[in-house]
Amino acid sequence: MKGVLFRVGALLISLVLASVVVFVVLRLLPGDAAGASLGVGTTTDQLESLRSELGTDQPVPVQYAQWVGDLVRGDLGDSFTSRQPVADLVAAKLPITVPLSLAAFVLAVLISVPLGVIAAVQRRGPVGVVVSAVSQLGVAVPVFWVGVLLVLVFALTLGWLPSGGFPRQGWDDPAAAIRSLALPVVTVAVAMSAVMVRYVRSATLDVLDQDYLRTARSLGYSRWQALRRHGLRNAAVPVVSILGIELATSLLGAVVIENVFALPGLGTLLLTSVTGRDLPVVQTLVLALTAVVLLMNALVDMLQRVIDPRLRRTGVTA
Amino acid sequence: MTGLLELHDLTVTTSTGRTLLDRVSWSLDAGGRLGVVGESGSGKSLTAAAVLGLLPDGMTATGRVLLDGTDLLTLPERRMRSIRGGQIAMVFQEPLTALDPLMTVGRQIAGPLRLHRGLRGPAAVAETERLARLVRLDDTERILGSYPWQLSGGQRQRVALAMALACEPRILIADEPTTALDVTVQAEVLDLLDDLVDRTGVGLVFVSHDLPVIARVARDLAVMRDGRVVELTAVAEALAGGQHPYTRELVSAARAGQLPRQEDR
Repeated sequence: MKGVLFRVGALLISLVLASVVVFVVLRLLPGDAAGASLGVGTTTDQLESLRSELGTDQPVPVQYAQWVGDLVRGDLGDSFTSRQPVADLVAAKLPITVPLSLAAFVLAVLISVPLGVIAAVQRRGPVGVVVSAVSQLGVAVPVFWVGVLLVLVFALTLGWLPSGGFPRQGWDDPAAAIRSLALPVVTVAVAMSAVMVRYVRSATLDVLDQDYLRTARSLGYSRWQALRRHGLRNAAVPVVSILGIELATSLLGAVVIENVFALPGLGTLLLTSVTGRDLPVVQTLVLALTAVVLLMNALVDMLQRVIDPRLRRTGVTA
Repeated sequence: MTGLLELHDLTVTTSTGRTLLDRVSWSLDAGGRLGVVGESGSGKSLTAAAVLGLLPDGMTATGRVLLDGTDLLTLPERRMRSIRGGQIAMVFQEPLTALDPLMTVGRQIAGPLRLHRGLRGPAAVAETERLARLVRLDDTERILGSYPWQLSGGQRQRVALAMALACEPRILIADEPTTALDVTVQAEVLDLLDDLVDRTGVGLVFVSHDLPVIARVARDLAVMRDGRVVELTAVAEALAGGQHPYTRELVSAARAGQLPRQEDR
């Protein structure tokens, strides 16, 4: 219980620090919203009046206090460019980005865990060598290139799936929505699997060399039985610790890949907002992504305590 | 000779052709007590691994390992699995790493009971408790619910013994089972082992670099050096002055309180 409270406290402090960093860094960037939306050839008076309207003429600490005060009350502010509430803008994009990154994450786990275990058990066999080689390649190749390749094969050549875009009706047409997300999901999942396979493989290799597996074998368990009974849970401890980071990777991967597939999700929103110096949208999105990563890491810590009783006996976090 | 376990010219070679065990031969009678002594790297542990068919990848064993006349080296893996734990069980040097850190010791002891004897539920619990008492684990309930790292070294080695004896094997191979323990705990575990062999009638192969330790539990002695058995004798005769110069060297070193080239500590 003490551990959980400690964790929650650390999470809150991290969030506050993250909000300061996000806010300050964005204001250190050159260019401002007023300049970006009015374009070249505007008078200083016009700029000044728009800045005062947006509140960007205030000192940075005042702007920060204003933003955090609104955040705490649940008000994310309005977009500088479209003047719509940020909350509405973000909410409209969630049905694309959230399913995309969650499905990619789950698919990546489903691909990488079995492959990593097999690659470790058959480390000198042909399967192990091929899995390792392919995952090396996967790590080296950028995620958008995988996307382009998949589009080339499955959309342009075979014509099985759309090359990009999202149905206007959204999830009201579930079949079309799933079809348009299929290639992006596979793209992100493949890129993530390449990394995760290596984690799973090395964690399993570690476990395979452990004395307790030898003990299990000496008691009559087969190699696989011993691995299932004692190995997987032990190997899960280090693998779980990277799951939080990997979920963040899947979100970031989604942000990048939405642009390749012309999906109107959070990634596209983030890019257009950055270009337009739409600070309320950018800082909300970045802070939300940070919060998700921090929250995942906290959950992962707790999950590890469930798996490994040794972590429970001390008050410190893993 | 018609021993329970007989090794005839057991030879182990690596894939590169290096000979690690060279025509090792010895025999263990039912209920017998054989000590295998030798310095680190002499092939003691490799012999044990070869008997159980658990050699590391890339090593091959030739010769014969006869259990009741059946050659274990020719048995298919499936039948070997019923021999391991069921007929021949093993206890290792370091009980902390030999046990799974994430599983309570009660469940670990119950594992082989289910695997070989099909016991589960209350029957498995009762049998686990009986085994815990057999290896003199007091405070049974607490210990069975504990994880290995919550126990002392002596308690852990008793747990390992209980696991090994769970399926009433006919042969127990103990590979340096007391080396990792404190001297006082070492004496307790040796007493226990001595007593268990008497009570259960299990044949004991006790592997150690430590001749005085072997002398406490073993009757016969195989002296190994560089992958070969250099002398087969009785422990008492060896202590009285063995035939082979290396045996005499071991005995005089033991008397002086140390062993030659004690590199495996």
